[in-house]
Amino acid sequence: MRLEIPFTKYAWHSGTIAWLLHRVTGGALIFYLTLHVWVTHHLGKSPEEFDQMMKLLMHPAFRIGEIGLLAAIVYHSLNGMRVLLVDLGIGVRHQEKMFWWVIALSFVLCVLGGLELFPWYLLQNPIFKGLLP
Amino acid sequence: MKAILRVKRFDPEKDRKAYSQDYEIGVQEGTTILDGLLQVRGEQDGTLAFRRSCRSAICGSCAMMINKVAGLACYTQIQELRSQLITLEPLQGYSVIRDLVVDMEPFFAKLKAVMPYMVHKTPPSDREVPQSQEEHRLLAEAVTCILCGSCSASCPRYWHDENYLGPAALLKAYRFVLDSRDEAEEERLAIVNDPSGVFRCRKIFNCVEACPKKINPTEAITALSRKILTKKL
Repeated sequence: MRLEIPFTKYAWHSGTIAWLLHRVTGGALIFYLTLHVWVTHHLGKSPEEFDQMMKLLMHPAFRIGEIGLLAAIVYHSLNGMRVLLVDLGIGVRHQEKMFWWVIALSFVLCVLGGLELFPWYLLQNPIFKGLLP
Repeated sequence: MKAILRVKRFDPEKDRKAYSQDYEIGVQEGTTILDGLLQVRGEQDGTLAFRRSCRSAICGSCAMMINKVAGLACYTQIQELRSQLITLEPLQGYSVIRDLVVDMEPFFAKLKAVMPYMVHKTPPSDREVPQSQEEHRLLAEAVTCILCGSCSASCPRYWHDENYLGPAALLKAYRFVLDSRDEAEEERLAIVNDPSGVFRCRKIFNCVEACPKKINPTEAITALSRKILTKKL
């Protein structure tokens, strides 16, 4: 199936952004699920591999990636509910308002979750010296 | 005041590729894109091709891409666009015949596919078929469609899926499905409940933004899909 991306052909409306973000986060979540299956597959093999996998997952890139995962899940589910409501005939004429609500709610949830998920110990690293009070 | 119309031009007899041409036009309060185009054709370039007829947003001939948004040339005032440079292109998702003139045949073929006419199975009585005001109110918005094709031209799904019926045809199906006088609901729902029908809508809402008549085709499409689903239950 071809992706119907209207990058330059058409002016962008909020509906386009909502749909595109929904596609991108959907694709990212499929990628994550594959990764997740791969990780769980290796976790059960042997204690050594468990430790190795855990070490890999504690890497800052994964920790920060988790915040991205949260963002993708939150946006995809909230916008999914918006599309569902539209499909049910609720608020079709308020879809734009609903989209901005989705964005605002996603943002708040990501900030709250991000504060929790962020690997703060990284800031103890010498390269941040002087930047922190 | 002056404005520049940047028109995408293509003549299949001369050109191998489409190109843009700029025309400077004079603008007053209330000057529409169509006024500008007529000015160009009358005073600067007689070879510029575009469709137009009524000049009052009721015939639906002059739909084109105005600054990358589908709309009617006669219904868009230049001053309200708030830009001195206006790009005019033929409708997206249609094949170009020449300059701003596109082939509307596939669009009308899709419209015909949903049976855009009243179907009466019961023998006609010798009196008119009455409809209450409440019954009419359901279709009051949908009947104002002028078939300009702006909604389909704005729909990314329509550009890439040549079988997709598109917002205009689906809106027309909805208009007859809701009509209390029509008796072909089953057939019409079967037509739109197809891989190229209502379930291909991606809820991008471009059609709602594009419609010069302020109709909401997405609402019609979701209403049709709900009708199909509740029938199946």
